[in-house]
Amino acid sequence: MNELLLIVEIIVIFVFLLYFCKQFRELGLIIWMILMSIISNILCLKIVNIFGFDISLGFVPYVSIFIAFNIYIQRCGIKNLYKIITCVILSLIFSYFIIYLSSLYLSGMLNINNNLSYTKLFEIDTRLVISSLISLAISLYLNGQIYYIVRKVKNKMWLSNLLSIIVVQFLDTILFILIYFLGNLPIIDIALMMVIRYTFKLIIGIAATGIIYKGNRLLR
Amino acid sequence: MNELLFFISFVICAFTLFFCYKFLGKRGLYGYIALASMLGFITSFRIAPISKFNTLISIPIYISIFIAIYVLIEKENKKAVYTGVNLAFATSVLFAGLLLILIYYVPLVTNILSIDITTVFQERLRLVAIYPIVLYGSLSASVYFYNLLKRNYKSMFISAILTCVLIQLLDTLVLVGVGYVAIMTSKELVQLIMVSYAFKLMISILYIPVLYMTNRVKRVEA
Repeated sequence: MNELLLIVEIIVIFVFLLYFCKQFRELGLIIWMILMSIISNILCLKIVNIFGFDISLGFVPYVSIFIAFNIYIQRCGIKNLYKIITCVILSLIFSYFIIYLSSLYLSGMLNINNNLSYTKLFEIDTRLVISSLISLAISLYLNGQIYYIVRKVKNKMWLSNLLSIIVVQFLDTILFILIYFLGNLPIIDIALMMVIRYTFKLIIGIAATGIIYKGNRLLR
Repeated sequence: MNELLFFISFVICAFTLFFCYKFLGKRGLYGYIALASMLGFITSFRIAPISKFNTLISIPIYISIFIAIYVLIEKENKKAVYTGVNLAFATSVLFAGLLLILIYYVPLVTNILSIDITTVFQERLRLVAIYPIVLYGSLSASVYFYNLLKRNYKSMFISAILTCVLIQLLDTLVLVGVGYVAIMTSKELVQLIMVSYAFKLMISILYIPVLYMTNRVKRVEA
């Protein structure tokens, strides 16, 4: 069941990515990065078992941020790199704040169980916020640089995407999991989590190479 | 406490909307509309008492989407307005789709948060389904009525308030009426609709100065 839903999730996300790309052009890609950074932070609260591995959701939207960014860089280069990263990070902070405020409201008697679940769910986890912000900012910056350099040297989209995904997702996974989990979980569990999460992200990132070609055609 | 949080949400949304337009122009507003559509969606799952009346806490951010559209009507062309409306719709459809997928993933029974997140959204399946349709319908109708009133009265205040009075009534009736129908008694539902509508009107009036301030900003192309 979960495996089937994972495939559906991948299809939904990449179809919508292409729609945003076609309908709203370069701006759509930036908006996509903002939306997916927030969605991945919400989805990651749920842990499921996929192919026998326990993994938190949200990695598909997260990888799609980098795919959208690669389409953007392929088209526009890295002249707006800092602006885009700043926009994404500020939007993420804004949304954390709004969601955090919504969890602070005192519940009335109406619909109390659901309200309590909501509050528990969206109470801010400072460590999660810091780890997400740091890992996302660094990963986006590195992704931009690596993709652009490989594109300049070889000018092959699949190679630029492949190299940037392999390197950046590796660093991102290590950074996020170390900041978030170090001290809370045994080292062996952390290492296992890194391997599983990196493998899933890598597979999706590489499989999405075709999306970069399609997205780039749509922007022409 | 809740009243203060409600007001803080309004102030933050108002400032963010204003600065998005001031520094990034219509592109900033597009970004704001997409962000607010999603955050309005998430927070519409929470009901809390404001001055002893239960209401949706999403109201300040939800109304700000309409204000952003009014700014686009005043300052930009027709195409820009419909891009804003389509962006809000696409964002909410995308988020609704991902929430549906999230609900149907089988959670780990040992993880309480995973069960909680499923519960929160599963109990409001109707709200998940109806939110994008209501948002799109309300925004499209708002654009139509705002333009109609603008032609007749030439006052932003009248256009914005009258549009809000009409559209938010229909919006609240459908969104709350359908979204919350099975999880509360009819008396509670009627109260929630009336109170939410009243708060929407109040917040819309509070947003009027923001609409005027944003309207005075010179056009920026980021």
